[in-house]
Amino acid sequence: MKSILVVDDEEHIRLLFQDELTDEGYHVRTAASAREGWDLIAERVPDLVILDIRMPEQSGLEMLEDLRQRFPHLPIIMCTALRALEDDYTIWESQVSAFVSKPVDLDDLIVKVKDAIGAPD
Amino acid sequence: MKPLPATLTAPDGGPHESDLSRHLLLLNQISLTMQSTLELSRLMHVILSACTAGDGLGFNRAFLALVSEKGDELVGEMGVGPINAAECASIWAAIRDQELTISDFIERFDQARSFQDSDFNQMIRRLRIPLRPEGGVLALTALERKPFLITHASSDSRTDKALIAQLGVAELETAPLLARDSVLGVIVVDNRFNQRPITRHDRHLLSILAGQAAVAISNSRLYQKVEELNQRLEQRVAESTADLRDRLAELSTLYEVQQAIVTTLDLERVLDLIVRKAVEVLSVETCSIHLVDGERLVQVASYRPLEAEERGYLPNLPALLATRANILPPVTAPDGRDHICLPLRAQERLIGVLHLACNRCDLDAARLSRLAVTIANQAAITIENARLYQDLEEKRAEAQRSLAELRRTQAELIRKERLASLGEMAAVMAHEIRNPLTSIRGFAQRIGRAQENPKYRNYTRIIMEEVDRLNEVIANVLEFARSLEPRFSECDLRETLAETLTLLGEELRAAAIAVECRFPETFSLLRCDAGQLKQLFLNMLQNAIHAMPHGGVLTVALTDHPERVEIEIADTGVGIPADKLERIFEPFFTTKARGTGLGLHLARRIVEGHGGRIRVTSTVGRGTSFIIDIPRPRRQCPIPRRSYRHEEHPCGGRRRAYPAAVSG
Repeated sequence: MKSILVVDDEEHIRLLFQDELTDEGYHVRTAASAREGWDLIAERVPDLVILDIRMPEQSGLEMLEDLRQRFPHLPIIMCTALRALEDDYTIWESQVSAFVSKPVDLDDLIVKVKDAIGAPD
Repeated sequence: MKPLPATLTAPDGGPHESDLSRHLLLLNQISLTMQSTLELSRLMHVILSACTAGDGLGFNRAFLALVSEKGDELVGEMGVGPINAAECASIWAAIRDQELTISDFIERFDQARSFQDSDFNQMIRRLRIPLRPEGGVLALTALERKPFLITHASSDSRTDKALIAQLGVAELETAPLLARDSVLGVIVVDNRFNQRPITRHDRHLLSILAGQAAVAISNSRLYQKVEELNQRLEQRVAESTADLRDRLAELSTLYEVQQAIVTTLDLERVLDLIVRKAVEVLSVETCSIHLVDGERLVQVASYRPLEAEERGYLPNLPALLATRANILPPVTAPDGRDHICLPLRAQERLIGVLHLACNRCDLDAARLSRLAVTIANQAAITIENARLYQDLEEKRAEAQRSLAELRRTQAELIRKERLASLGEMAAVMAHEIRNPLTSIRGFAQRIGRAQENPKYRNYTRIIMEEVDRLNEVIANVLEFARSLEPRFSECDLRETLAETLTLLGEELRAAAIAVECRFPETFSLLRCDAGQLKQLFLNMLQNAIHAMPHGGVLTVALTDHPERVEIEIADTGVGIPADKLERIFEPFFTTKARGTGLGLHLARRIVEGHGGRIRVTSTVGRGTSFIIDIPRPRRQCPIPRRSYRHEEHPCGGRRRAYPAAVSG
């Protein structure tokens, strides 16, 4: 079963994503910060990371850089609340599988996840 | 003058004691009378009258011949005497009766000059005797400077027989007119009609009279010379006065030019004045000024446009640089016009050339040269002054620009600071709102999927739609914050408008809206934030489209004024009610069912950010028209600093050709 790590400081969003992706058939773990995320990655490297950009302590973009250095081929979906400012993130585009904008349309999220890692099995 | 006793000398009587004293008195009076006149013909008449008057010497006839100017002959000047014996007798009788004096004779001369028409006078005036010994007794009198008494004229070897025949006398007396060692002429007397012999006493008196006459004639001639000199002098004075007057006129013209220069530093106007004044003062056909611009001469002012072939008469630059002359020799064109060129120099440096063309110059070369050179100097000084002034102006403007730039930078910094915080705030707000929105929308989506009851499924759809609407508001706020950072560049608004229209092409077609574009053929680039203006046009055009749900005409007009740019966007849509019209620029105010109410507020902010203003007029059911005015930065002085950039467009401003209209 394919494993997905959701890193987001918002509890409700973690719950939403976990339920949605679990229902879809993926194994989902969640982290409320970059540090927690690294702990879970240390236990097991996931098949996909869904990463919120704006977080306290280490931001999603900083974590992205570190992840890229250690796992150059790990699929990552960035999640942003600053949709209108997405121009600012164009430099990251080549490094991530996709961007999803908050408020997230769950159907759109599933499409992007499947594009990145395929079906749950 | 006391009248003398009138006595007629007896035809055959000798001199008596009383006669002698009377004659001395007479001579004295004649002398006084002669001194009283300086006019030669009057003087000669006095002399001859004295010789012939009954109370004078009493000769029948007398005549004068004067040495010619060349000194080679005697010329008969005047003869006085009756025509015949009868007239002679009647004159003597009349004189005796009337007791005429010498002064009476002179008066008579003034009253009637009829004696001049007498045969005797006419004959004398034709008289020409060579001043040689063979010229006869008159010539001898002058040559030998002594009197001659001829008693048997027809047989005397010293006489000219032709003359004697004409005079018809046997006896005559001559006397030389001697003054200051020179012979002025001779005086000749006879007693043709009464045949009275000429006595020694007569001869003595005549020689005294001749001496006095000579002095008087000499004086008269001197006087005449002085008169002539005086007249010549007066003429010179008159000429000089006229010349002075001309020069004064020239000076006043130059003064006028000078005044104009002092009162205006607008080079174009002064140059124009100089060429006009030059044409006026120099009476030339045209005048033009050309200035050195790098390797060539550029025309900066002209009385009338120069024809192509006329430009050929301008000297080339190397020739101008080589010469030290103030005025070049005129060149005559095949059409007969003279072309004259004067180098313009400022501090010895060649700055240009003044060109004159004239059909037929009314002025003499000296005056033309003098005036033209003065005007050329004036022009050179003017140009230099104006350039200096312009340099100064530019430096001042530069200082002002720097100051304005500094102020703008400060304002910009403050604004950026504010914007940064606004952007930051917007970002935080977006994050804080969008996270809960994500939860709301996501869970609603999930509930909706699980819900069997269509009524509740509809509720979850509504929740999701409302979330999307809220999200749009946030997107607008973020866009608004971002759009407030201006990025200036030179841009062609026709292109900006055309691009915006292209973006909306699909919407326009879908709404069946016809687009009418009115763009100028040429447009000077405008310094503005193209991105902001595009956003502005997009908002305005979208509003117009929304106002015409059932189609209509969208008019987009661009007008390029020297000081400003005007953009009109008009629709034939639903219109805005008057009570709402004044509120449409307020933030969050909207007349549309779906709208954030930020579009027009943003539009006004953008226009004001460009120093412009936006106006609106609207009639419900007829349509709405927005007029946007954006000012152009103030233009620079039209004359460049050291050179003239371009003849056609001295005002600068890049211009590009552009199609007359862009169809929508």
